[in-house]
Amino acid sequence: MANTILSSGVRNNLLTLQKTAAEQSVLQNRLATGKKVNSAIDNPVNYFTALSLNDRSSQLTGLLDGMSNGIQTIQAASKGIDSITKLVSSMQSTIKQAQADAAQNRPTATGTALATAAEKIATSKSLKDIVLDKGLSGGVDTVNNTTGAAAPDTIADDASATATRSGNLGIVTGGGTTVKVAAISIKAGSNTYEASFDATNMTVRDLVNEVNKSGIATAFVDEKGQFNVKGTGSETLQFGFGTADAATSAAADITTAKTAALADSKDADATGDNNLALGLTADSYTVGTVAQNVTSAVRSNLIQQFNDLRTQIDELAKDSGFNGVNLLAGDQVSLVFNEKTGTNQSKMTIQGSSLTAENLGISQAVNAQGITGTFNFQNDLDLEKATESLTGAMTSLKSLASTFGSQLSVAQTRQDFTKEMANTLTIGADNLVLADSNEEGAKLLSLNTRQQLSQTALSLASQADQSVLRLFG
Amino acid sequence: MALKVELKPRERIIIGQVVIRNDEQRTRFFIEGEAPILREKDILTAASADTPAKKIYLAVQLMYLTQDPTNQHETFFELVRDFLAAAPSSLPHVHEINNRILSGDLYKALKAAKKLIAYEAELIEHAKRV
Repeated sequence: MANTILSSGVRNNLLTLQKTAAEQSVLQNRLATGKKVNSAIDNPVNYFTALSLNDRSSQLTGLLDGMSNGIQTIQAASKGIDSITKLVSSMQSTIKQAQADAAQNRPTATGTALATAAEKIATSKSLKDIVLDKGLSGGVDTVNNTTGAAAPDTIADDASATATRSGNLGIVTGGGTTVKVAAISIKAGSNTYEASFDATNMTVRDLVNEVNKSGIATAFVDEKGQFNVKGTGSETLQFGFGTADAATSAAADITTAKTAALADSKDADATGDNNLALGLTADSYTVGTVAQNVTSAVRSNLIQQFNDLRTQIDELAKDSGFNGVNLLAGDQVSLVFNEKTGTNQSKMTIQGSSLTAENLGISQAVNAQGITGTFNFQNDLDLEKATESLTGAMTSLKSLASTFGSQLSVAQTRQDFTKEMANTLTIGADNLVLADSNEEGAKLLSLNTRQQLSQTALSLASQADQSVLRLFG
Repeated sequence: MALKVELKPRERIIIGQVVIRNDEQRTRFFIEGEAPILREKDILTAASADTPAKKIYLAVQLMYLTQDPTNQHETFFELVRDFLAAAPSSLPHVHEINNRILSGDLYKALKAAKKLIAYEAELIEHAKRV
């Protein structure tokens, strides 16, 4: 078939028809989609920009999910720490309750009676008061009561109390200018106390006061007239009383005598002016008095409470995770803020720490001494240690909570910003395909007029004027 | 690594929270440390921010000077939204500014905002001609 040759007129008509048909289909397309730019052919630059920006927006939205997970993880850990802090608080009050109940097992060294019934009749005072008023030393013995000669004998005169004299414990002072010096040594566990003093006019009451100054033991005279020393804790109590003579009342001699008296208080000699004078045993320092094996029922009950709370700390820490990540079990959470890689990636990594009662320094509570790594509730010293470690635990928890708190606020700020940005990109990308650059300049001019009266612009200007820019006038 | 600054006579510069004004001679000094630094030619005051793009620059400038991207948060986004509604073709520029702020690079964000001012001037020029 021969080619059909078209005349120019027909060809023109044909071209016009084809063009019209093409335009029609474009218009129909536009009407259907509402967009001016539907494919790369319409306006390639805008189309591809819009496409890539929409992509970016969806990438950012993907990041938002990860950020939200990270934030939930931090919040779970924060709540865990709050609950654990409350538990530690409860444990502190348990310890206080235990401390309020006096320890039953404090060691007491009791001496023999230092006053007799005869003295009681003679003075009409109670045995206790007689003993308290007795002097430690009998002064210088100048007459031998047995022979009448002028010589000191081994027992001081006038030791027994009568209506006119208070008597003494029979510790003799040497003749002439010598001065009697006494000393006490007390040891309880790792605490020691030593004191030495001029015993010339000291009474038993003065000695009781000296012992009470130590803080690690208390002394008292009971109704039977016995001298007692009781430890303030439950450690084995070592109490020693010693004496020595100073040749004169000169300071140097007194000092020498004090040293000798201290040494005397720590040895176990069986004769003379030491523990035995008080009615105590000779080895009351060298061996000491052991705590009795009595337990307080109140304290025993509190032990169970304490240990239960302690176990709960571990359980709570284990339960503070989100989505399998637990910052209180030492896990790490990583929040990625942008979708770049390598050095351009912006992310925040939060390292958790393993939180257990053991790691916080809180040991188990027990009923008996000697097991390392535990608190013996029956022993006041151990209760002190427990209080200290609970205070330390509170400090650690507070600092951990504050770290998580500040990291959480950074993460939340970034999350807000990213949401806004993704939103802006989406709206912008949509608008791009409706763009008409001819209108834009005009629109900007009208926006400018609007902004001159807008609240936003005014507030921005006032912020600027308050910053360092005000100096720039 | 120190930044070298050369000031002409009577030129001003903002460093941190202070304005330093040079005396009658050319000066040169080195700055080390973390404070924001703005030369006189880069500084915009509230009085001279009289177009939408300049207001955006002002907001970013405040972020840079206080080293805090959350400063002026809502104001910034309102300005950006209005700007984009008026001139959607500026999206790539706005996008660049946002990116820089998100990465914490406030000085580069400022530079990008400067480009936006130039672009705005172009559009308005175009409109005036047409």
